Amino acid sequence: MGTSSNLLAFFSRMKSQGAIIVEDLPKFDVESYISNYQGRTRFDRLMLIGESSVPLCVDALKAAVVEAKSGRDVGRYRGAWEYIRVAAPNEPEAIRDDAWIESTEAANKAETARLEVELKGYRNNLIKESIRMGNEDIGTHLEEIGHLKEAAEAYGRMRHDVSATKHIVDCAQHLVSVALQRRDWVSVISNASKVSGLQATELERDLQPYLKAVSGIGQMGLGKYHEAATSFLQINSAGSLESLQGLVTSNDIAIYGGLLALATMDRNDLQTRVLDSPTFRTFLEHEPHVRKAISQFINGRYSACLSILGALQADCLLDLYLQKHVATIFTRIRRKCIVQYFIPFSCVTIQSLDEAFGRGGNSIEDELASMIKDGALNARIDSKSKLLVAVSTDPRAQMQAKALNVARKYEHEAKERLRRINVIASGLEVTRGKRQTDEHWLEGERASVLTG
Amino acid sequence: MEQLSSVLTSYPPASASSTSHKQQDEHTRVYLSALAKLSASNKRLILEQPEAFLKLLDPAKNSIGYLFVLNTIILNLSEPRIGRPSLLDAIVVFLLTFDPIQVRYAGNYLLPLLEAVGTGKFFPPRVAVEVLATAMLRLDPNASMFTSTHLLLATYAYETDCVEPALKVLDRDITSYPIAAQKEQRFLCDPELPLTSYLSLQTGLTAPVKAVTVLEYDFIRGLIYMSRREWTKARKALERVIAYPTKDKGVSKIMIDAHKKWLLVGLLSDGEAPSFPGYTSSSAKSAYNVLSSGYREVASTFSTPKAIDFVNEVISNRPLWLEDGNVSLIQEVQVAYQKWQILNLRRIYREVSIYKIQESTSSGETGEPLANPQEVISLVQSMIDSKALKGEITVGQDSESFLTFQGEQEWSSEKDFAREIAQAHHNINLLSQEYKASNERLSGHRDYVRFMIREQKRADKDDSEAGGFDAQIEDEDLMNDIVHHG
Repeated sequence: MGTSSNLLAFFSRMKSQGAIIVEDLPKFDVESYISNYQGRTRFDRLMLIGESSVPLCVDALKAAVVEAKSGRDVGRYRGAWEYIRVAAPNEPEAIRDDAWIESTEAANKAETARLEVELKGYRNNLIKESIRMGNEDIGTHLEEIGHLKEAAEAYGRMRHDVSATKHIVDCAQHLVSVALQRRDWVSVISNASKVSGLQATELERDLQPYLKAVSGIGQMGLGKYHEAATSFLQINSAGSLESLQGLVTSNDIAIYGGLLALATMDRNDLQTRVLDSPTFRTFLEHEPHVRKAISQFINGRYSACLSILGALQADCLLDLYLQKHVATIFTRIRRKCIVQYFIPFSCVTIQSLDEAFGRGGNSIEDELASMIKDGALNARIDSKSKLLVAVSTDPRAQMQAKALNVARKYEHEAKERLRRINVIASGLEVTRGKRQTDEHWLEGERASVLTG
Repeated sequence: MEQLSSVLTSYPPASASSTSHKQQDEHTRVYLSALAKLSASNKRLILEQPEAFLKLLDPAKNSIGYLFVLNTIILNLSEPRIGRPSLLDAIVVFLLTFDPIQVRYAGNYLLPLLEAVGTGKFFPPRVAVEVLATAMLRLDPNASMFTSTHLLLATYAYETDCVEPALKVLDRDITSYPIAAQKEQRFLCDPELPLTSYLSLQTGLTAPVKAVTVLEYDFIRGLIYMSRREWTKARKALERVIAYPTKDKGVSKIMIDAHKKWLLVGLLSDGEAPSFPGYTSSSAKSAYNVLSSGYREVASTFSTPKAIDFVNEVISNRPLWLEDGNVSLIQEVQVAYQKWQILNLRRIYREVSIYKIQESTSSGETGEPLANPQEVISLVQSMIDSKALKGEITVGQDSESFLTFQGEQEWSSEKDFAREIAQAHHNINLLSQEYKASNERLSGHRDYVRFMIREQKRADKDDSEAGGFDAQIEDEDLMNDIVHHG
């Protein structure tokens, strides 16, 4: 089989598993991209690129195999090998290294047992600090070998024996790290907020970027885009960004924050809270495209803004946290552009909208229809004259309709309540134990329905 | 004969209009007891010459006497000395002209007559319903009080499919119900007397009413409006059944059946699944949720554009519709599906091409789009003709047809609006009077008084206990207490 047919088989399998496939060549190469990250997130990112990007697939999977073998997580190695076996069976990495698997598994098992015995010993001695450290060691070990659930439990046990603020922070950071890998966004947010509530000023200053970033990622994962944007925009770039190491890069923050803000904030907020923000500006400097897209939006050059974003899309689709949300976020931005474009007019020809926003010759009419249906756009389409017409609101008529509606509703409800008062006053409520009369009624009713 | 006629004509006294309520009341009761004491031979006399006696009395002035004679005749119909046409005439004349105040005393004569009319004993359905409804409105001009005759009327009208003349009663909103024993100081003949004091079991103007009677009445009203395709009214009638007050977590079978129909009728009237009124009891709600599952699924797919899902739900639940006798109703819903899809387009388009309608909506019967534009045009035209849709079909350039939607404002001028709002204001004022009356009546209710006394006692007790606690604390060791509570 040729390389391309192998890839084809691989991606059709990925597609059936619900993965997002990106065919465009992104603006980075695997090696330089992954060197920005540290820790376990490297493997996750490589695998994601392997799953999704057609041009980078083999490179990424090869790197993923190497990455897995440099650690102790056998499950990861197996997963990466499964992929590369299908996608590129002729590569040297496609041959399973059984010896490594066996030796690593044995070593992992021995290490787990050793740590558990140690912890038991600490427990018997009832020294809190030792128990806490024992749990931490076990947690770290389990996390490294990929037993995330058990790792989270071990980290959770640390909390019983905390004796200093630092310990609470450590415990929460471990839990956040595991939760991020498990895509458990609720627990990411809750653990992050536990730390923010501590009110330890010095720690908080150092950790602020970290906390805001993980909350942002968590909120984005849950689809709360506006909150997520706010979190990212609050990240303080003045202090040290050390705590972000291994999690996200400054470029990522610029992209996340910029796109989410563009999707959820109005023009004014975009100017004051994003472009003019002294802290977020440092991040934006890393991603001039995002900055440019935002300023184009503010200046009303919507098609320019959208074309910049279009160029960014392929890269965003290969991001670990952003991938699933790219479609939604980009649609929102696009819709917002259309709405903004339309605001100053009472009536626009569909042709001019096509010129500004049209995609590959397809008319925008269907998209407009779905926007109006979802309530994103307050307008009506006139297919005969090919116009998009703003709904002219007549406040007086609206007020009158509302007043009448309220009056009628009030009357209806008052009447019903009066009825109910009198039903109850006459002792006519339905109670239990009326079955007999009911059944009798039922038979009569059946007959009348059938005949009637 | 002479003596009998003198007894019968002894009422009303010549000076009736100037006498007080007390005297009127006395006269009437004397007259009633005289009638009751009439011997069997006297009754035979009436039966021998019924027409003469009916002529002797004026039903508008001496309703009691006339009713007594009528009743005597009807009870002994086995030996008719009277032509059927003249008897029927007499009944109609009486029911259309009787004095509503006098008959308050003669409920036990009137009710059997109404019941005989309402079971079709004398008249063909159309006349029976008309006469019965008119008589009911004479007794209670607003028809706002429920009586056993209401159910009779509704059932009879529905079964004989003769609904039109009954609507003047069925359309009214009922707000009060017969109550058991009630002390009333005023006299029965007092025109100011509230409905609850005379339309009661004691006067015999209504038979006993049970919860099932009320539920059945509103249920049948729902069926009647459904047969007339007045979906909004049907929905409101059924809504009364499903939100009927319950206690001890009781739910009636009628309520369950009504809920099923209510869901479907809601789709027809509003194009989407209706939502429960706020006062629906929670036990009823949970029963509905368990027992109406197929209906809820149909309702939830109705408002989506995926016709095929909707059709599949309808087909897969077919045994359910058969079992509940809702087959024809579900057919209505299927027909209405595409109509509502087209109606919803007015939220998106001002003018939409027929081609677009054909492409974006599908039939609720087949799940497929209509075959050609002509079918779409005839469907849209039928909707415009039936006033379901405000709009018109126009032809644009290149002879393509378009549907133009028109505004939906219900009133055209400020004057209309002012009239509407004045009407609403008037209605609410009337209601508040009724509220006041109910409030007054219920404030005197035994249970309420008992409750008030109990509350009063508890308040007194609380006061004294609170004082006691303060006093106690003075004696105890204060520090101890604070530590204990802190």
